[in-house]
Amino acid sequence: MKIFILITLCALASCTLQKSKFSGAAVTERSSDAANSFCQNFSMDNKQVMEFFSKSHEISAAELHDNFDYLPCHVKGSITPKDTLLHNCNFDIQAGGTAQVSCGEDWIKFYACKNCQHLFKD
Amino acid sequence: MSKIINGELLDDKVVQKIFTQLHKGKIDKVNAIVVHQTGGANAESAFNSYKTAPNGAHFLIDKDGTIYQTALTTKVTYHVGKLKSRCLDTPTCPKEETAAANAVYLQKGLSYSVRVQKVNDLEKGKDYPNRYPSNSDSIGIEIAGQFIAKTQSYETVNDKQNASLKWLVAELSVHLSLQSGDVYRHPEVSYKQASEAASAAW
Repeated sequence: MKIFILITLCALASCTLQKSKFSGAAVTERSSDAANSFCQNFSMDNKQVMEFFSKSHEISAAELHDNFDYLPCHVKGSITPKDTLLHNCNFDIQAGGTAQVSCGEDWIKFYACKNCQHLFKD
Repeated sequence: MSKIINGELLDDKVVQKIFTQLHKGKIDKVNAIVVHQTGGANAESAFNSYKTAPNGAHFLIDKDGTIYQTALTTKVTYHVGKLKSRCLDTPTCPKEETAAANAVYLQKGLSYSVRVQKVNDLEKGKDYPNRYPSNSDSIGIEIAGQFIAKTQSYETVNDKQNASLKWLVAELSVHLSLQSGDVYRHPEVSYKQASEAASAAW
């Protein structure tokens, strides 16, 4: 009985883990729009980038404007959207907790994560 | 010449389209105007968001130059966001205030979002003009304009929009006793893309 409960709980736990929309994140660059910006030490490794995207949700440009801070420090790199034929995609994560993923000029999406504050500090 | 009666700017140039959902309290005194771009393609997309989202400004200028009043000038709306430290942009700010702002911005162990929230809290304890204008004492003017992801910039404000903006800023400045230095672009006062309202002219 105990084993049954344990197996059930484990199954439920795996069901609640968010399915990541992306794979293969590779950080290539850190940058800051302004010299001596307070966020200039912002950095993420590949694992943290994947965590961000697994917890993030898509937003519109208007929502980005209305609801989120644009902080001028970035982590950039390459990434692959899952379940698509898209390739050569890049991400740009800003220190305010938002990101842009672009695959060429015609596929660009914005993402935000409100439960990722632990990823955005130095 | 226009009139303001009970918070409505009355003139043939202004279409009244008040969204009472945007009203978040009473403004005691208007100290400034903050100019924005919506991030969306047109006024309609902003109107749709005003029906359900908490954020929005007092006026909206559509692509054809039509001016809509979307909130009463006597009411607070949520349009500014978190305030930047004015001290860091003001050489005459007392040293201890500059140091206090820097200490918060550079506080290790706090996320950047929490830091900017704390700076905002510091600023809101000051009076204008020792801080930038906030929701509690400013009128917001939105200009319909998309954020273009390809170029990472907001689209250029067109001539009709700028003509309407110039008229609107002039009228509001007379009615609310504002000076030219009391009109700001959104990225000056809060954490927004630098290109927002960069091509707005009044």
